[in-house]
Amino acid sequence: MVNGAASALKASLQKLIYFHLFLFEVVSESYEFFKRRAVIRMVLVRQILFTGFEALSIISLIAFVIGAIVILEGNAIIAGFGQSKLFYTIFVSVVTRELACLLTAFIIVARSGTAISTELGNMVINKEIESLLSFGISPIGYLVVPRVLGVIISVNILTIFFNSAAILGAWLMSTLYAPLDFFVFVTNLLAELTIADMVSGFLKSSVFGLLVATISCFEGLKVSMASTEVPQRTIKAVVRSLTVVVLADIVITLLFYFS
Amino acid sequence: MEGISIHNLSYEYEGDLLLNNVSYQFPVNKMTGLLAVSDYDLSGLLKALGGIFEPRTGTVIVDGIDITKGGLIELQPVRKKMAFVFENRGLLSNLSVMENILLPYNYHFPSLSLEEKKEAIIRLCRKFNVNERWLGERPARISPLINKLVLLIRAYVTAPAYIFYDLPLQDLDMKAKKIVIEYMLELRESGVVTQIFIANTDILYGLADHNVVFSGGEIIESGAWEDLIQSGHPVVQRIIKEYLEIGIDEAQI
Repeated sequence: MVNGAASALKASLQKLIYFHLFLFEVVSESYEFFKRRAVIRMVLVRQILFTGFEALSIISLIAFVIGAIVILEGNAIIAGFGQSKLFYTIFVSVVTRELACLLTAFIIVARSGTAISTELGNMVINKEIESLLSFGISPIGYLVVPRVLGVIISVNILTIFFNSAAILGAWLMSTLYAPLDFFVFVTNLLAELTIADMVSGFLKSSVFGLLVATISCFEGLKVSMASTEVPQRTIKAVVRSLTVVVLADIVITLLFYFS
Repeated sequence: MEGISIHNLSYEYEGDLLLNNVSYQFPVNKMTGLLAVSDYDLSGLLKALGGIFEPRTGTVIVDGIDITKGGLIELQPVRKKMAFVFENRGLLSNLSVMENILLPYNYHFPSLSLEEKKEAIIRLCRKFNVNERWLGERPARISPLINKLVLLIRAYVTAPAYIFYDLPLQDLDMKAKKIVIEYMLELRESGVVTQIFIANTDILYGLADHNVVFSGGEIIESGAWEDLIQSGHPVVQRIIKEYLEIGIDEAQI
C-alpha cells in the first residue's frame, strides 16, 4: 500500500513537472511569436474570433441576468437596495472583482477549453502534429501559443463585456423598483471602482485565460493512439481548468485584498 | 558537410529496438531505398531520419547539423531543406488543400509573394493531374489518391534538398504512379536532391541508386537492387522474395 501511494505520488509529481515544463515552453515560444510569420498570426485571429467574438452573446446574457439577480436579491433583504450606496459596493466586490472574471473563465472552459483539447487530440490521432514537425514547425509555436494568446485576449475582452452587461442588467432591474438615471448609476458605480479592482480584474482574466488554454492544449496533445482518448483528455482538461481557476482566484484575491 | 548520416543511432518503437547503435552515410543526391521484413517499423525509422521521431540515442546529421539536438527554431535553416511525404493523412484538417500546401512555403519562405507561390503550386498540380478545384476543399472532402498527390506537391513545392517518402505510391492509380516515378527520377537526374524512401513493391527499389537492408537492429546489406538479388544472406533473400511477389502488377508501368 505504501509502495502504491509512493508510485501515485511520483506519477503526480512527474505530471506536474511536465506541465510546468510545457508552460515554460509556451511562454518562451510566445516571445518568438511576435517576431514570427503572418501564418501563425492567422491562427491567433481565428482563435480570438471563436473564443471572444462568438461567446459575446452568451456572456452578455449571463452577465445581464447576474446583474439583475444582484438587485433582486438585494431588494429582498433591504428595500431600496438598488438606489443605495451599499449596492455599488456590493456590485463591485461581488460582480466586478469576482463573478465577472470567474464566470467568464468558466464559460471559456466549457466552450473553448473543450474545443481546443478535442481539436488538438484529433490532430495527434490524424498525424497532423507529425506533419508540422516534418516541416520543422514547432507544434507549440504554431498551435499552442496563438491559442493561449487568443484565449488571454478574449477573456479580458469578455470580462469587460460581462461587467458592462451586468451593469445594464442591474440598472434595468433597479429601474423597475424606482426610476434611476443610467449615467448617475454608472458614475456612482465607477466611483466605487479602485485601481486595485481594475488591476486585479486584468490579472485574473489574464491568468485564467493562460491556465485554461495551456491546460486544454496540454491535455489535448497528450492523446497518443486512439480517438477514445480524446473525450477522456477533454474531460480532464475541463476538471483541471475549473479547479486551477478557482485556486488562482483565491490566490490573486488574497494578494490584493487580504489585510 | 553535405548529406545525411547517422551516428551510433538507436531507435526503439513499442519496446522493439529497430536500430541498435548504427552508423551510416546515405549517398548524397541519390535515391536510396530502405528495406526490412514486413513487420519492421520502417516508417518510424524513416521518421527518425526525417527528424520527426526522437531516437533513443545517437545523432542524425544533415548538412553537418545535428537535427536531434536544438529547438526547431534553431534548426530552421536545415529543416527548410527537408520534406516528408507521409503514407496517408498528414494534412491539417482545419485548413484547405491550398492552405496546407502553402503552410511550409509561407513558414520557410515568407519573402516570396503569394502569387509566385500559387503559381508554383498550380504548376505542380498540372504536372500531377490534380484538378485545381480541389485546392479550395478541406482534406476530409478529397480522395486518398488526391490526398497522396497533395502530400507530394507539398513536399516538392519548396524545392527541398532532402525528401523522405513513406510509401510514395500508396493510394495512387497506375497513371499517377507513372507520373510520380518519372518525377522522382527527374529529381535524381537533377543531381541536387537526396531522396530516401520506403516502398511496398520492388519497382522503386529497382530504380534506386542504392538500397539499405535492415534486420535485427542492424544494416545487414546495402547496394543496388541487382546486387541484393544476388546476395546469399538468407534474410535479404526472404525480403527480396516478399517484394518480388507483390511487385508483379507494377512491372507493367
